[in-house]
Amino acid sequence: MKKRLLLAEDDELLSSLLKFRLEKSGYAVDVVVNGKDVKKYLTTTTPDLIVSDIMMPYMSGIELIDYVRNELNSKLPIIIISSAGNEENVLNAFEMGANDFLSKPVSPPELLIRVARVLKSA
Amino acid sequence: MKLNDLHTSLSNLQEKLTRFSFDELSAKEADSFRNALNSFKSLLDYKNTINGSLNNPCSSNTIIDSKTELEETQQTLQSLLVTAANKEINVPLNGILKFSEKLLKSNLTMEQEKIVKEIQTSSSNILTVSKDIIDYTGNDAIGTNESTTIKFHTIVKDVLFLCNALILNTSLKLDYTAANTIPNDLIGDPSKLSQILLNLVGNAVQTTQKGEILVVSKLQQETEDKVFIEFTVTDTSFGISDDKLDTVFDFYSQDKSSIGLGLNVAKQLIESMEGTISVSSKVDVGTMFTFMLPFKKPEEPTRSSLSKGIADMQVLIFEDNMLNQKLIELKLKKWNCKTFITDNCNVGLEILENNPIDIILMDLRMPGKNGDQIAEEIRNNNDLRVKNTPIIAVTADHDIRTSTEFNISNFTEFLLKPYTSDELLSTLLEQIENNANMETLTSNHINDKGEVPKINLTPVLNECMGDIGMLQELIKLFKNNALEFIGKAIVHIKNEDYEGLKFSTHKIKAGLKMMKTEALHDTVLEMENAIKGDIDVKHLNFLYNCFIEEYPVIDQQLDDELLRLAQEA
Repeated sequence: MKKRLLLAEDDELLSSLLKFRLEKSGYAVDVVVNGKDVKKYLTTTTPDLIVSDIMMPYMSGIELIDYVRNELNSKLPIIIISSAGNEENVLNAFEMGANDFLSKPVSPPELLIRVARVLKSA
Repeated sequence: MKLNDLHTSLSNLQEKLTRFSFDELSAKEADSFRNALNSFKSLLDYKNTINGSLNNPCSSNTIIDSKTELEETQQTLQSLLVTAANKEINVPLNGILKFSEKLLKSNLTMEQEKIVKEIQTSSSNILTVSKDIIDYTGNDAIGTNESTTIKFHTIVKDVLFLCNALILNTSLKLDYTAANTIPNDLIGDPSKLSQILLNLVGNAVQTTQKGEILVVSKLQQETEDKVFIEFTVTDTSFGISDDKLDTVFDFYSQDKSSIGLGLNVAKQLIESMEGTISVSSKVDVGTMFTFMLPFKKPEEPTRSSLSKGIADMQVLIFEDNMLNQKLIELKLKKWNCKTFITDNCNVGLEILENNPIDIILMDLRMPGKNGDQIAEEIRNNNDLRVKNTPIIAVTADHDIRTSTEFNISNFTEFLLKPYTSDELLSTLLEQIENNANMETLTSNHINDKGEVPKINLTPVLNECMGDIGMLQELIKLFKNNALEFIGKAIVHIKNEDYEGLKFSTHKIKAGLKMMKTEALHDTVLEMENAIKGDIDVKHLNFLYNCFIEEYPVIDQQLDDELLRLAQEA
């Protein structure tokens, strides 16, 4: 059974590349482009892991973690993608319950490793 | 490029799109496309006339008596006119490209989007060809043949696609049948091939009112090093009467009203490539042009010539199996590499520190410290050179890339056991290339002449695991992002919506980084800094203008680089 990942990323360029690489590595990948769609998606589907940009329209990555942990009461693993210089937010993200984070520019091999690691420990 | 026009229209594009009904828009835009294409075609004819008259002075009734005088005039005229004419061609072509770019941003159906994309590819290829024409017409080049590796089927398809776009008449159809026995990779002159096809098919489009134009390519003959390809272009025009048939290829054809001057040029081009052309026609039925062109077959690169690329490479091998040690040593010695073999971590590290090792082949399963642990130690070494040595993991574990057992990020590449000599060789060659790319990247970075460094997308292509289609998709997305940024940022600046601007800069940054467009990336970073604290609108506008001035250069470089990589692939 393929592991299903939700990729929340409003930059289509980055999401295309990451989706391509994740799928090549055998994951099923769904992409949403904003916070609203994340919520909508989560009402119908429970992925094995969420990879989310920290900055998205309608709902930030931090709000997303808050939503998953406190409203859905879910331990669903979440990896946050943050821009450089956003260290403070990364700390917030961990505090809110993020499982791991990556800085932009995202290196696909690094993401693959982090995804595999988080899934393994989940 | 008129940048002001570009960004004004972009920022208003969304608004306009909602105002226009979709049908209205596509019909209008399609018309403009046709006009652009038609002006391109007529300019091409004009250029052919020039080429024809200049390269065929004997058959023209020129009044200049002195032969030397004629030649001199001819040469000056030739270089002047050909350059001018080609410039004229490039303008509408660029227009087509720009326009299709714009069209892609509108709400197209899947089918329409596909067509527009095809128009884009075709026109950008033709643009390249047109640039080539400048080169060869510049120095009396009808006689000289360029000989380069060409993608035969792609060229033919592109030219015919463009010809198809020239057909305004719905009762006329253009069909193409290609024999798949014709290899795609051939050696020949791509611009001549394109021009011959453009002239002959263009001629058929002009002379045929309704019915069908059928282009067929066949592999007529194949020898050890050459292929002979026969084309037929059959149309359902009124035909040419027997008495005029002899003169259709003459420069001054009697029947100028129906036959373009392009036939004369086509014949010259074909003969310069050592091909032949003939025509047969029946009045009221149609005309058939048959021409044969020889192409050389590319030589298969042999292993011995490839292995030259890795000669003198210094390879450190971690391997515990004696037999494997011998085997790999034998292979690498044969390719003139210098080898060091050990199964011991400390010995290996000592070798690394004392020799300029280019690459490490690491068996993952070894007694004592395994390959993963040794790789970890190498990556933690204090010496920068040692630390960054590429490490190829050699393993029988075919799921290694998704393995969680090893820290796979320590490895540059994987070689799956059992591997062939070819696989080993190509893995080593790849590393050499990557190293070379790394060096160009670094040297680009310290380019201090104020020139824009050429973009190198090889690392991005590697991220796409060599999938050129994926790279093309990414570039398309990148361009969309950049244009969206250009459009939105100016609106944000005008409206003093700095939160919105921050979002736009955030969104474009990843792409700029991915495409290695350092200068644009820096500009965007500066814009981000400029909206922290006191906001200097003048400075913001300045930075924005820097971006839009720089962008077209990057846009072009991306296309060039994509083309280069596609041709390499």
